[in-house]
Amino acid sequence: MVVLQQFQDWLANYIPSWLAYLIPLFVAFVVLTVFILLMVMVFIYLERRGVGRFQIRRGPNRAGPFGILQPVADTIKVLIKEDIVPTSADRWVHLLAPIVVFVPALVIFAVIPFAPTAIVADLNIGILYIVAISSLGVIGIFMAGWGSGNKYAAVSAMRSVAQMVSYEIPLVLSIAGVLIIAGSLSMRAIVEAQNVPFFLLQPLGFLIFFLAATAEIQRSPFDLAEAESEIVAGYNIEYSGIKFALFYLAEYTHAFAVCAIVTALFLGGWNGPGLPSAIWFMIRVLLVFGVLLWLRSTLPRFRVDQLMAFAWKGLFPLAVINLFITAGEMIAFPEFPRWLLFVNIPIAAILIVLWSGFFRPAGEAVSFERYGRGVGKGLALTFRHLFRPPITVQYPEERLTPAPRFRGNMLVWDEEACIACRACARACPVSIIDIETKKAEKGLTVEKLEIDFGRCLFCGLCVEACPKEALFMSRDYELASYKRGQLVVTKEQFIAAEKRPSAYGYPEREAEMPPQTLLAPPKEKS
Amino acid sequence: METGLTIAFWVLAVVSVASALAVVLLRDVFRAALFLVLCFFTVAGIYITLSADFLAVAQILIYVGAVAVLIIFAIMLTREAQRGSPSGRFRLPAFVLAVGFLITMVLVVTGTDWHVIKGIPNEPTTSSLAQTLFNEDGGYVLPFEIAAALLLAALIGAIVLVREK
Repeated sequence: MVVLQQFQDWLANYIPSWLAYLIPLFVAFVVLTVFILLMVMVFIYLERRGVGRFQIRRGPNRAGPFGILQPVADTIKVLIKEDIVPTSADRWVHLLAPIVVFVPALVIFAVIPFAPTAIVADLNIGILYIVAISSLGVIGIFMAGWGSGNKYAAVSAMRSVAQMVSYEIPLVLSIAGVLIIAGSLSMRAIVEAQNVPFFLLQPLGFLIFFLAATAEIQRSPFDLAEAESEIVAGYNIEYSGIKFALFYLAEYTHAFAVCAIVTALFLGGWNGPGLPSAIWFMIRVLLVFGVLLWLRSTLPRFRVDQLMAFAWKGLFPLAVINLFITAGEMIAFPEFPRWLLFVNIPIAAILIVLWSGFFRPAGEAVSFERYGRGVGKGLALTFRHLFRPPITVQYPEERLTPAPRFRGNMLVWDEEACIACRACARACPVSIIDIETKKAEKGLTVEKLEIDFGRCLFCGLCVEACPKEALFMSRDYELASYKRGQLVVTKEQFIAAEKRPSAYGYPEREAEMPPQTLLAPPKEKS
Repeated sequence: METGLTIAFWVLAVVSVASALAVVLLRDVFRAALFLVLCFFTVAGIYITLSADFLAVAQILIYVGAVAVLIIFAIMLTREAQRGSPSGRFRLPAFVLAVGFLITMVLVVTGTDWHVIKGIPNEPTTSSLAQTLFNEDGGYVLPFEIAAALLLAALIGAIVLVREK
């Protein structure tokens, strides 16, 4: 506000006042948009790496150091993809939908207070503006669902609107508690009112807001509208190229916005010692995003009826009770002293436990074993995963060592030991061993040997049939070629090939083999 | 500032009238509903140019965020909407009614003696609104509560009507 106003006042000395008013706003808009797009790239990178770590994977790590160029590569890829409009689509509605979803997500940032001086418009109705603007996104999703002319997209749009309309109510009611304490709708005033972060004074409101906001931006476990396993990405289904990119962008812009709102409303915003205030703000935003990732990689998706029940029977009544308690406390103690946090935290805990008794998400009463300890154990497990080395095998550089008696894809043939008895060819159940012999000074030699590994069963009977130690299974497991003909291996290739025989059929050789490495990590001692 | 406001007003006014016409004239019900959203939105913009920021936000929150969404929801649930506009059996009566309503509105608007405030409204608008609403001698608390009770009655009525026996 301050920086922007100084810029406007300075410019007003040189050009007409309305231009001087608009130009700094335009500059602020461009700067903010570039900043948000960069942050969205950071968020996408963090999400993919973070979810990878929560699942003991590595995440993208090929493009650039630590894979930091992956979002750039993805952006370029998505921009050069073909732009498709289905024939059954309502063309204009289909084209406009991504923009209608993206723009509200962007303009929310006009009232986000990154620092005392870094806020584009410190509206006196700040938080109400956010609530109003974020209710617009649902229209875009509607347009995408209807305009695509696809039934999955339509199902997704219905789910999405039911979800957003339902969760908006607990969302707004939980904000009301904060507004009562702060005594203002302005985002700046709300942050300035937080000597004690409001998540301590409003623990229940904080939880309700966080869950409802997660549902509003449709992230896991509330991502029913784009449930890949049920309705194949929902309203996204007919979108490709830059239009899909806009949806993707809007999703992460929304996530960033919600993290910033949680930070401003409940976590004390920019307050903090030492570091610049904008840095404190961004640290908190990233922490909130980390929690979102944690929930996403732990909890399974809700069912539609559970989702609705959770909003209407769970969050909504609790939000109303919270509002009443906060209003009562405000009347009793107009100053809202800090010690109330020692009252409010136990009240929140008791209310959550009591309320879960009334609430039957899956037709059965909520048990502590399942929804308390169970969810807690899940969260603890995914958190522990962060500190374990990833189990991903970086394939071309690292390979797994197969079992000692592995039956690999190419036989190992020892020309010296072979007596050309053709026992292997006779043993082969699919008759792929083509062998021709000719008389030599002593016995026979192999004239021609061709084996078609495209048809091989890897049964190992040829190795078992060999009377001498001339034929072995291999320990290689790559079997790929551009043409089927290349899978036919000839005598010369057998002689030239790198020999890595397995101990199949020769148990006495097992001890020489390197120990097997498995994809699953060895069991921890309990 | 004055030039900017004038430009903003004319842009918003033209867009809102055009989208309102589109709502009535378009055959495709879904597109008509989307133009209704645009119309609500531009009206909110006009409120902003009049420094009525709270009213503008309430307009977006209630009309765009709730009313329009429910209208679109109803259209999606209507079988007829899949095949374009429903049949026009009521076209003539509706036209007569609409013209009658338009004449009434124009007469009311031109006939009313509007109070025009010359100064800039108080900042912040929210606290002045609250003071008017809940001031010492009762303010508008009673109408406010009556409106709430009315909405609650409508809500319960709707549930009772559609409830399975």
